[in-house]
Amino acid sequence: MVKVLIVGEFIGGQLKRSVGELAGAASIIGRELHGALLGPGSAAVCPGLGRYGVTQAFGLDGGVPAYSSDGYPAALAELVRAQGYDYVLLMQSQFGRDLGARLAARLGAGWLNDVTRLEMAPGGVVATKPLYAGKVISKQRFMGAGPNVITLRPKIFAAVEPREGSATVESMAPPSAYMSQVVGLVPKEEGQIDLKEADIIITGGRGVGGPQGFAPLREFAKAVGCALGSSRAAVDAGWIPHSHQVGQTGKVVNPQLYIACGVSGAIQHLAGMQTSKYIVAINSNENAPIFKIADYGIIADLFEAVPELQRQILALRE
Amino acid sequence: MEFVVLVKEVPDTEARIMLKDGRPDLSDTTMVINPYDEYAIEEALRQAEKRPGSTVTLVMVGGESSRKNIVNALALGVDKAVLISDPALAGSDALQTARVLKAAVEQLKPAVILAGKQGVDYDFGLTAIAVAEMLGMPHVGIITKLELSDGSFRAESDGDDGKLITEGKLPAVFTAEKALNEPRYASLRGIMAAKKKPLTVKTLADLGLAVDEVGPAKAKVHMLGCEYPKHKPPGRIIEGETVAEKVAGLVKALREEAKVI
Repeated sequence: MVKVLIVGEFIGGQLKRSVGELAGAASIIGRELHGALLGPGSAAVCPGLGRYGVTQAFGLDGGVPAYSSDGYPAALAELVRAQGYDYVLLMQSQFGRDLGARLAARLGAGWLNDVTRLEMAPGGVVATKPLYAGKVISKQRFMGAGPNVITLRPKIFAAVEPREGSATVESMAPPSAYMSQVVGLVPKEEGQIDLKEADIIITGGRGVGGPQGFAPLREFAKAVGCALGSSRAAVDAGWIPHSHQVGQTGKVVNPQLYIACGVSGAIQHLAGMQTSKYIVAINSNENAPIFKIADYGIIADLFEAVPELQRQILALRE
Repeated sequence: MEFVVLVKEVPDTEARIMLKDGRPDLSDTTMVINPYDEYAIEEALRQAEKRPGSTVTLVMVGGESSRKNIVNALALGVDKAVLISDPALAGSDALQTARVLKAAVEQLKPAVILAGKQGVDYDFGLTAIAVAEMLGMPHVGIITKLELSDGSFRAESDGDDGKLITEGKLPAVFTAEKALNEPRYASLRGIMAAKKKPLTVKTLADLGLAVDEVGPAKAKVHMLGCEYPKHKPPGRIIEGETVAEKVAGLVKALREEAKVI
């Protein structure tokens, strides 16, 4: 029987919604599902994993630092060895990619990250993984015996809806030492929505003209409740911090709705957003390449169109 | 202080990726230093400049064609380079590459190892972290700020729920996010000096590694094939006399067809 461990994430005593995606993906490859949560406060959250089909949960809690990129993987590797998991699933989040990579290195395990599809085939799991930021889509498989470590691209896999259930909870043995640890955490600004988690993203490109040009987009993001993105051109010009950049050297996103304003549509930008469900382009240049991949286009000045779009969406919601 | 920067070559980010028999064919593609590695190089140079007597060494797995990009890095101020080149390395996975890099890095006894957060080709984000694990060093991934003092470090990185501040002991490995710094351009003097800087080529045997430890036969993952993403059918331009009319048409389509607002 294929044994799968999912490593969930939680905040403020609540499981993040990505736990449903982990459980959904795990159900494709295995029958027996275990879960782990690592970090201060995890023990109290562990029973909730049962609502996602986890039968046995493990928590690393009690005097552990908020994160340790060596200590957490060391503890997790011991658990994987002791339980004999074939696959470990994490999210391709900052947490999951870091913990998962060091875990894979420690176990000498196979590593496929940012996976967008999993299938069972004769000979084992076949994973779909975009390469070159999505310019090419690859199919990959693991060679030899496990364990193997997989991270999932957020918001792609069908999520298991929580239902009645509770998991048996055990404590994980803490690592023998920490070479490094997180000593401080500066929370995000109130109301800022993460690009990777956002359902709607509004993005500004060179066409916004300068740092002040992002004002109507910021206003839109705040009023409508969506994330603010940017093209590389605007970041390189110093108009907006890199944390907003979408594309090959920025974030790869896949919202329900992506609104590109004054974005020309360079290939390295398209690579980061072409899996969005619906793409809207607003640009005064009708020859901009972005129109080729947009579902809906408006040829207009973004400074007129964006406030108007905000007004009409808000009117609709009333 | 000894600094090592791990660098790889990737296709230019503006390049289209050609496929041949379902695999990326990069034979005609312009290769550049991985963009995230440029921030790693810059950080090593800045930290080294603050500490006279420091050395920055670039370590890369590549081939003869990699010399051009290595010289470009030397022109920025990197002191010397080690190019690991061996035909047996073709088809190796990230963990195998990490073992090779580990063997090369070990000989240099660095206090600080820097690399980009991921190669913008396969986006594994594994190699540098695996080097840290194999060397028994701590690492901090995706850093946006680095402070070094005697024997210890303090690094900032972007976490999922905010900015993380990590402390630990050197030697350590750090992977660079784009926001870490602003890379310099090479000066004319730097370009002239680069050609005279040491570039050592090493084979697996030079590193004391067996040829059968690398390559596809012992890789943990295997690529079955590649294809281009399916493109959506072309969309439509929403017409109207005024901007308000165009926006009204858009809102209607998003509401009724796409059902996303």
